[in-house]
Amino acid sequence: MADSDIIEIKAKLWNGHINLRVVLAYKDQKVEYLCTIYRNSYITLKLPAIVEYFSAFVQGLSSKQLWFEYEGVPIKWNLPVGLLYDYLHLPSLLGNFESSSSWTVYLRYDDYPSDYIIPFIYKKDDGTVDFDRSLKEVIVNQLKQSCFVLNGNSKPIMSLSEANSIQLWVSIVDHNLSAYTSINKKIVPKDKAQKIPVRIFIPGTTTIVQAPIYPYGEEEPTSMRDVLSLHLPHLFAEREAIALPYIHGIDTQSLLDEPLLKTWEIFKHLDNFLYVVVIPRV
Amino acid sequence: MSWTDIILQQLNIRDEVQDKESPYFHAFTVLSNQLHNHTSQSEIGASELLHWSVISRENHRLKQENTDLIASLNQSAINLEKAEMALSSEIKTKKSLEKMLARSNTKIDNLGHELKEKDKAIEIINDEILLHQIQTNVLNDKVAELSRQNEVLVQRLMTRAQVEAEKLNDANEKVSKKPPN
Repeated sequence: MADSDIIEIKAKLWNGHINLRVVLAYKDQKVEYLCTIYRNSYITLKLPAIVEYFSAFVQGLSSKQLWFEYEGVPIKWNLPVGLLYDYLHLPSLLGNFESSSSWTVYLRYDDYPSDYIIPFIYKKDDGTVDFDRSLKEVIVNQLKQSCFVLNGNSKPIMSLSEANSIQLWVSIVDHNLSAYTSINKKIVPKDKAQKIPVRIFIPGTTTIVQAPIYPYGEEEPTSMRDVLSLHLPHLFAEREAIALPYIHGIDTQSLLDEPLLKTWEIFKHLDNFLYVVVIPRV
Repeated sequence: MSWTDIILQQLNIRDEVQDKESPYFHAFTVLSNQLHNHTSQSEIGASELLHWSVISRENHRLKQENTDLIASLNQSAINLEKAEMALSSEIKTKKSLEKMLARSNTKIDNLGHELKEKDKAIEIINDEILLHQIQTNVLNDKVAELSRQNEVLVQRLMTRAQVEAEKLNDANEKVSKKPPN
């Protein structure tokens, strides 16, 4: 295992993107907006451009509570786009390679499903919705959670200077790896993480396993197989797993027996959580 | 095949699948930007049109520049991480070599001490050899003297035996010449 391969993997994870087709039902027709979005990013960051485009069709769109829907499921905008794609869309693509890989979601501006997704509570002075501020607040909270799990306290993130906090957020918005890495280094532990923040999603269910994992077992480092067989024993039996773990859109069964801490270091998302989507074998 | 090879292979496949349709999506983004600019231009007066056009072009250029700069920074960050990893590996190697050097130096010191001990032992043995040689020489001299003395004694014994034999012969001759009574 060469270090250069790991850097290459990190670069591909950072630059991974998906093609997003946003559809707005307008009168009797459907209007489409196409864009590419980084997997390790948030759909909300595209909202200003989407609103600008669709404002030609719907007046006052920027003042409305907007949300995305995929096959009747409201999309949680606080989760990384890549995770949402893997959780909601990828299972339908597996074994069906003829279909388009782009993801079609609907933009809705009525009946905001506040029970399922976080509402945008902030407004700008001109009365338009401040998507950016809401997203920032949620992501910073998620960063605090992961920081607590990793360090046993939130001190590293709480003690960031204001300039660093702003720089961290701007780096997430701009998808600037250099700036993000330099600030994030101050949050993640240098030597030994106390626990690893992991979230496991199962498509087609509302089950989300959110478990801080000890990086080391009694004798050996904890592996992804240990975690999955502990929390999803019916899917990851000892002999043969009937499901596969997907991270960043790829099947990661080759990582099942690798130390989870190493997997987290390479595959973690912007909020320092490791998101795993468990998809049954086709 | 290591896990890194498998992951890289899968990432390449993932990106290839996405890249198939990406040009259409990029083209749409460019066109929608142009449409936005065009719409904005049509909403303003003719006097401001030139000014707007310049600002719009400049804005687009700066946005593109910013995107390129971030892409370049990202690549630099990746290269930096590669360099840091290489440096870390070099530092590890250096530390390992320093440890090996320290171990070798200790071994050399120990061997030096051993050598000194052996030199002393050799010196003692040389002294002993010299002493033994002297003793041998002394003993050789003694042996030579004793051999010489032995030869003299043998010579004297032979001479005496000869004299006694001659005396005995003379006596026998006299006895044989004397007439019987």
